[in-house]
Amino acid sequence: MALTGNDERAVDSTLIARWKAGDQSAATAIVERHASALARFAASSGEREQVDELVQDTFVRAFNSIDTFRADSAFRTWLFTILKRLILDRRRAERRQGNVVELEETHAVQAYDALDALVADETARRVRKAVETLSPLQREVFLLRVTDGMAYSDIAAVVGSTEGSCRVHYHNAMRAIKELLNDDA
Amino acid sequence: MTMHDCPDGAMRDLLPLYVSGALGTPDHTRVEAHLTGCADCVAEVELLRAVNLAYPAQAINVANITAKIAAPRRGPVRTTRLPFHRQPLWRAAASVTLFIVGTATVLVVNNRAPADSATAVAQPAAVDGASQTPAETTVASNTPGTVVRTTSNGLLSLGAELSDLTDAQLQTLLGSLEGLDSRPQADPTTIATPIMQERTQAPGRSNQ
Repeated sequence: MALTGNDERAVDSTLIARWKAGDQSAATAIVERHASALARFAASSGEREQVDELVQDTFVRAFNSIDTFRADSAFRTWLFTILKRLILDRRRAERRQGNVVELEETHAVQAYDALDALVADETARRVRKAVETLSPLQREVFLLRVTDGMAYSDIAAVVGSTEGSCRVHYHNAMRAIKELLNDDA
Repeated sequence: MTMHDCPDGAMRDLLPLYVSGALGTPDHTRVEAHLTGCADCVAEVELLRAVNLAYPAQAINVANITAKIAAPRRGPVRTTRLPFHRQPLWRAAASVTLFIVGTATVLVVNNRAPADSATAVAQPAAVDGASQTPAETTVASNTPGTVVRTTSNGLLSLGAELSDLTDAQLQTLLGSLEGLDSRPQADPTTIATPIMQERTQAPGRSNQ
């Protein structure tokens, strides 16, 4: 069984304190703990091309301003919040430069079709297509809940919404996916 | 297989955390007990596991990232020298200087005030007829240090309290004041008439 939320926080706090004391290996441990989850979130948000860069920027920014991190929220939630802001900044910059790549629902499905080969399980492939039909906000809430096991309060902090709203988004998303899979069957 | 929702909403809320392994032991045990008797939740758990398979964790080059992370800052944070005008000692000196200059200015202005009032008393005489510059005679008053000046046309200027004047000086001052009263009125009486006419023509406009 994985560590619970409080245990996770305690581990992160210890690692941060060690890094502040000059232990560079603590930084490696922190990155190893959270990088893959951040990368999955970046990829599911449609930033598949810049996943590595976004995750790297997230950690660089986090470590540069780690003194501003307050233990009110989990360290992982804080990292997700930074990543989410970086994604939004990147999209805004692209929009200013005229490289508008709005992720329409159909585009997202087509983009993931090419990656279906990576997903061996047929059910998982169908599920992926169903998830891609959700609205971007619903998708973010749903995936943070399912793949990262985040509390609604933490999801709310990441997506900039309320806890109650996130709960509603999650259950609506689950209902929509079930309906799609029922129709598909 | 058609999926339905379990009526236990609180339990369904725990299912994604159960699948991702984020539950503590008591909740984990509770969910497992529930799953033994709820086919809807078992189907939902299968679906959630499929979601996890569909979105696998991404491989990331950790070494690349840690190489970009700077070592923690230790010791004095700021090593660059501040510009001259932002140094604390300079700022303190500037504040003290400003205070001294300001206080001195206020004192100087206050000390000059009596002389200005004397000029104000004498001013009507200077403006008055023939535009001549009257000659002044200085008279010593009862109070030491008080100077009373009498102009050639009988007007008086003073730089002290009335109680410091002698009877003769007071008489001269009264004469000067009577002379002021005899001057023609400078009030703009011609302007008053149209205003009064307007008021009488439109009485309703007076109260606004």
